[in-house]
Amino acid sequence: MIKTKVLLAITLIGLSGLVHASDLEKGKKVFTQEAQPSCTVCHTLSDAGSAGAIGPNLDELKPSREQVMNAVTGGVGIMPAFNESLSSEQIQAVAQYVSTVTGGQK
Amino acid sequence: MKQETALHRNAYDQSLENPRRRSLLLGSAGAMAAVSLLGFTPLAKADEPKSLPDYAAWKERNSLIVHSANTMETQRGAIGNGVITASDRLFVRNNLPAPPAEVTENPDVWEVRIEGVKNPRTLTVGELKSMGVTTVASVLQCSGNGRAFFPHGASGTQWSVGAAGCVMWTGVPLKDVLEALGGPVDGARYITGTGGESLPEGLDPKTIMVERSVPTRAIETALLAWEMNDEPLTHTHGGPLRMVVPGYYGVNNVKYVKNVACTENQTDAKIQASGYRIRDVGVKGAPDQPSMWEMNVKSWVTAPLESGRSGRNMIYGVALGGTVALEKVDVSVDGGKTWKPARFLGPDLGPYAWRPFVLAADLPAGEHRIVSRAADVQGNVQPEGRTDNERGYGHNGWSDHGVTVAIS
Repeated sequence: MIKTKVLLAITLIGLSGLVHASDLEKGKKVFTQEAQPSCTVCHTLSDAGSAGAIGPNLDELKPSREQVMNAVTGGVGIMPAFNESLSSEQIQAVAQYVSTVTGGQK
Repeated sequence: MKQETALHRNAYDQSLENPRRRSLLLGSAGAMAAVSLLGFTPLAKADEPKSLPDYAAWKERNSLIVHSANTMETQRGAIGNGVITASDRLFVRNNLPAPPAEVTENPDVWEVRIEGVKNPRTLTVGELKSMGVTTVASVLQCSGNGRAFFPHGASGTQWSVGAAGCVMWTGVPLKDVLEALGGPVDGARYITGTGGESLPEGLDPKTIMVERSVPTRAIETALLAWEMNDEPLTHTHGGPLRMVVPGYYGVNNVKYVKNVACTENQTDAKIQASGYRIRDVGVKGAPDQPSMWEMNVKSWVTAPLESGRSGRNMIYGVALGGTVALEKVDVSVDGGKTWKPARFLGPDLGPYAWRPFVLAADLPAGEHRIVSRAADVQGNVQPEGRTDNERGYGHNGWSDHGVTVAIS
């Protein structure tokens, strides 16, 4: 009985860890490949290996998940809106990714 | 921490300079062209202050709040009573990375194309200097100054009051240049200025270029400026040449201007068509909405900011009217219940400059909410509240701009 509970707990922990990692991978893909124009053209983000200098340096800015959601969905300043070119899953994924790797979302 | 009312100029700390950082440019295929890197190393810890980027390294670090490499505002307490904001503490806001510093090495050779006139021509700054000259004091203020006070979390730099300064511009009146070239073509309703920043490949230029249109009534006051506060215009602030439109929000004062045209319509560049427009929260920007042109009447207290001693206190601040002269400024030390007229401090440098003001007040021990409320000669008065808008532009509500001071 206890063994089963422990096994279940470990499996759940393992699964949630896996989900987390693949979410970040999804978000990174949006950032480096799927968004057009690419986020990398304008933004510096060391995890993505980009050094764009048009928009804010994201390692410096450390945006929260909500900030990234708002900016990508509706645009801000000269940043375009991506709500028509990216799905809501893609936007959520990139928001999760950017806020996590920059430390913006604790 | 007690805020100083006197302005302290600290020697520029050489140890804050950082070596230029080079890194490989990665990204989508063919996207990155020769975009100049910001020559500074971002600090690892979130709680350490950012150092000044290379293109602004000469500025007074302690007077500035560095939001990012392209956005830094003046500390509230670093604005004083001398009317003119010293160049080393004037805020910086670039919409695009600045051109290389070399552009100001020989400023007289910089070229600007003048179009939409009977005789279009390309003129150098050297030629402009022989066509006419004027010196004008004007407030440079970001459209988003005050954005931090909006509760809906408007996207964009969270400026409080420091994206504003009053400086002296010297240059040729745009009117003189246009007249020398035969005057605007028939049907011209706007003056459209284009910035000379280089744009990276992989982006539609219209989406990022700095190109702004202002109505032709601005011809009366606009100038092509090559000097700020008695020195050649630094590339930090748009040198070698900037189109200055006195009394208009900062974005219209196009930096590194390379093209000026009299046009029938506003430019379709995104920064004009959908950017810098006033609209309700949740609504996208569109050309039929009001554009951020003439600034509104506004004021804010600059001292005291946090604490003071009971008894006689001098309350200082600055007030501006955009393109309209100020009538008066009232100050309240009880959050707006009762008001007293403040006195303007220093000379009147014209309707486009700001005016420091002062009120002597006897403050008993306790907490005081100090607010100021300016009125212009056309009867416009600062509202108490804010006008919520999507991007948090144009905040001039007196309530949000007050300070709470602990008197002991």
